[in-house]
Parts: sequence; structure tokens; C-alpha cells
Amino acid sequence: MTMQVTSLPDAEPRPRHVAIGTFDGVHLGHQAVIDDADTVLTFEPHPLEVLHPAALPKLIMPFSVKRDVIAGLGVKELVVIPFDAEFAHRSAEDFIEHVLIEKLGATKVSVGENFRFGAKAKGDPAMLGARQEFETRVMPLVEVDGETVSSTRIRALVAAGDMEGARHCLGAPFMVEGEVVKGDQRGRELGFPTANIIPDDTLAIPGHGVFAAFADGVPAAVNVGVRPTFESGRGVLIETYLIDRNEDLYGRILRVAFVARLRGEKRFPNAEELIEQMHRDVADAVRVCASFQRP
Amino acid sequence: MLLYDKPAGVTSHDIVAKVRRERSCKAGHAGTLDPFATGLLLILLGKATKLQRFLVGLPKTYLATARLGWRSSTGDPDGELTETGTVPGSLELPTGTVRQQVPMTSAVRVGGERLYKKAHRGETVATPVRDVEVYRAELLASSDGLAHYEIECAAGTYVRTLIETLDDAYCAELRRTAVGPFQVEDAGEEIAAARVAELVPAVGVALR
Repeated sequence: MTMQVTSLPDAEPRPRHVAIGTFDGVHLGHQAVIDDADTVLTFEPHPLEVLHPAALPKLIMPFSVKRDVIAGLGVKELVVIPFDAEFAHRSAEDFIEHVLIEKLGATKVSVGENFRFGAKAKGDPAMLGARQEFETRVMPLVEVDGETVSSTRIRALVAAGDMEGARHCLGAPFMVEGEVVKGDQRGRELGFPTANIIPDDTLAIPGHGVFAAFADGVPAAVNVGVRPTFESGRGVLIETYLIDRNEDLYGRILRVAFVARLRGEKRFPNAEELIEQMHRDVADAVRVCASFQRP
Repeated sequence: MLLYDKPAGVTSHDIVAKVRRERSCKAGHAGTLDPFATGLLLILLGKATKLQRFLVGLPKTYLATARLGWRSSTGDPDGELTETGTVPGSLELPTGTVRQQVPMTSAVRVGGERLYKKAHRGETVATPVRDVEVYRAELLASSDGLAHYEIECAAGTYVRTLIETLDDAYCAELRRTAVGPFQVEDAGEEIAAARVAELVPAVGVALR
């Protein structure tokens, strides 16, 4: 079943169960809100980009990944609000009247306990619950490993390289998507050709180190960092060695799903010792990927 | 007077000591920022240190981020953090004249000693209560269990104490964007005493 993606102005009213949220990461808490809803209503870009850019965090996923993860939950339609200064000025009452009721025809609305909406964030779940036009379901925060799941917590786990922790909260591995660009061919010379992605500055990436991952489903060893053995003059790079694959990936969009951190970033005295370590990293990645079961 | 953008993790005094060393002249600041906070510090150099008492009373503007569903023993991220899981029902902060109890971890002196020194030894004493003015406390946005505010208040207001009025919240981030007419965007600039006197009437009167 494919999910339809609609921009709010093009949406048609029909009886809907609408889950509302920014849903960065589509983590287990978000999934509990979305559960059973046939429509997800979200904002693009992230409202903080308009409301308070200084507080905008590095996002867990770009819209393309968010869309696909939401589609994977069995949602029929994703309605996207083009969030701009004008929309930000609309009051909470206006949002309920004109977006939820008039434009979408909502009969049931699901939100998280800490959802706020409307100008100056004046709208809250209680305001939705007071409406007779639709039924409101308020989902409590979800706890994992003794702490509430939040996008903020996941960003911290990802930055710390704790991919298991991030996966427990997300319900799926943390993923980076990007176009494969030409590197400086160093990996090829070392016997480990890599598909290189320049990370998007606005998105979260794992803290520097070497990781076991799946790249488009293929087990891989991934280096995130500035490559301390060589002075390359490039910024942060995500270098993915797809194990037992040798095809040209330049220009392709690659999705790297991080499973576990294998080691920290390290400078080696010479290329030989680096190559030895890379063989160990690949062996570790093979082992980790083989024992990985999707949660 | 030097406009300085303080990073998180250092004390205001650290910054003053650094400037004093670098310039080998007298230096002082006109209003402490907590170690976890960032933003505008007014650093007075040389003879301008004498203007301190005319500048400490200037109103302040802050951007503050409250983490919801958590509490901190000190009201800031440097304290002991506990998750309560309860999201505050209202995110409105009090404005107007607000009665605040000075936090135990503050530079206010009680019995001739700074409170944070007592707190450091594990002592707790009755801290002073005072009335402060909060001119504006606007909720800019709230998502991901965080609430972002812009707050304008009189000198002496504790923003972390203001945020604690939400109950299940603490001040996770604090940035001072303005002190009176001075803006953090202009950090790095040096302002001559004569110009300070133009911008701050009290200084103008003092220099006459």
C-alpha cells in the first residue's frame, strides 16, 4: 500500500483519524501517537526554523526519510503543512477550526502529551480535548531503558555514538541518507574502496568513529570523521565500505543504517597499520551485522 | 567597555581574568552570567571599572530553553537531574512583579559569604526573598519536550527560578542577548566611555 503525500492547501476533507506532530525521528513515542491513524499531519520545515532558528537542533532525519518511515507504519496519507511565518501567526483556535475541522474533516485526533500548537504555542492537548467535533486521544510519553523517549534524547545518543541506545528509542537503526560523491580515492589504494557521503550540516550524524552498518541493506564498515591518518583538507565525511560488493555508486543516493560503534577515531603511524586495523574493523562489522535482528 | 559573548562552561570571573591577563589592565564585569549560560557580558576595562555600579542595574533580555518533565536540584543543567515524566499543564511564566527566593547556588552574599560557597560545603541557609520585575516572558515555541522563551526582566532576576515556577521543568539553556542598549550581536566591539555615557543616562550623569 502506498502512502499519499499531500500539501495542506491541496487536502480534501473526509472523515479522518489525524495524528499531529513534527515527528523528527519517528521514534517509539511518535509511533504510539501515529498508531491507528490513517492520516499524519506534519510540518515542513521544522517549526523552530521559522520560530526560533537559534534553537533549531540538528534533525534526526530529512523529510524524505521521515516520509518513508511514516509510510512503513501503514498510514494512508501524509499531509504536510508548509510552515512559514504566516502559518506561525495563526492562533491555536484557528488551527483547530480551519485546518483540523474544515480542511481535513478530522473525526479523531491523536497527539503526544507534550504537543503544543498555534501562535505562541498556546494550544495544548486539553484545548483539543474540549472540542466536540472530534474525539481526542492524548498519548503519554513512552519510556525506554528507564527514561522518556524524546528527539532530544536520541540526538544526544547519536552524537555520543551510542547506536544501540538510539535504536532502542527509534525502534529502528539511526540512518543517514546522502548522495555518493567522489572521494580522493585513498580507500581504493588501501584496498577498501568506499562510498562517500558529505553529511548535511542541518542533520545529526554519529560522533566520530568506526561503525558496523547496513548500506542499502548490505553489511558495511563505516568511518565517520575527518580521517586523522591523512591530511585531506576535507571536512567531515561518512565513508562506507560495502562488504563483498564492488560496484560504482557515484551519484547514487545511499542510505546507511548504523548498527553499532566498533571503535573511536584514531591516527595510525603508517598506512600498513591502518590497513591491518581496517581488516579487523571489517571482520567486526561482518560479525555484528550477522547477529543483528531487526527490532 | 568590551562586549563579550561568554561561552558555556566557564564562569564570568574566568572571562574577566582572561581579559585582565591579555590586556594587563584592570577589568571587571557588570553582571554575572551563570557558568552554564552564554551570551553578553559587559566587561569594563581600566578606569571604566568605576562605572560598574551604574551598569549593573540595566535590564536584561534572555533566550531560555526549559526542559519539561524534569527537575534540577539547582534549576540548571549543572544540578542533579531527575525525570518526573510530568509535563507542565501551563507553559506560561509569571510577569510583572514576581517574588523570588534567591537560589542557594547564586553569587548573592549572606552573612558576608557567597551562597554558592555555602552550597558547595553542603550547607543550606534561608536565602533572601526579593521582588523582581519581569517585563515580558514570551513562549516562542515548544516541541520535543522543550519550551523556548524570550524574557525581558530587571537586573537581579533569576531566570532559572522563573522557569522553576512551571514545577516540572528546569532551565536547560540560557543565553543573554541584551543588557540595556547593548546587544550580543555586537560582541567583540569596544565602546568608549563617552559613548556608554550617551547610551546609559546614569553613566552620563556620573561622568559629568
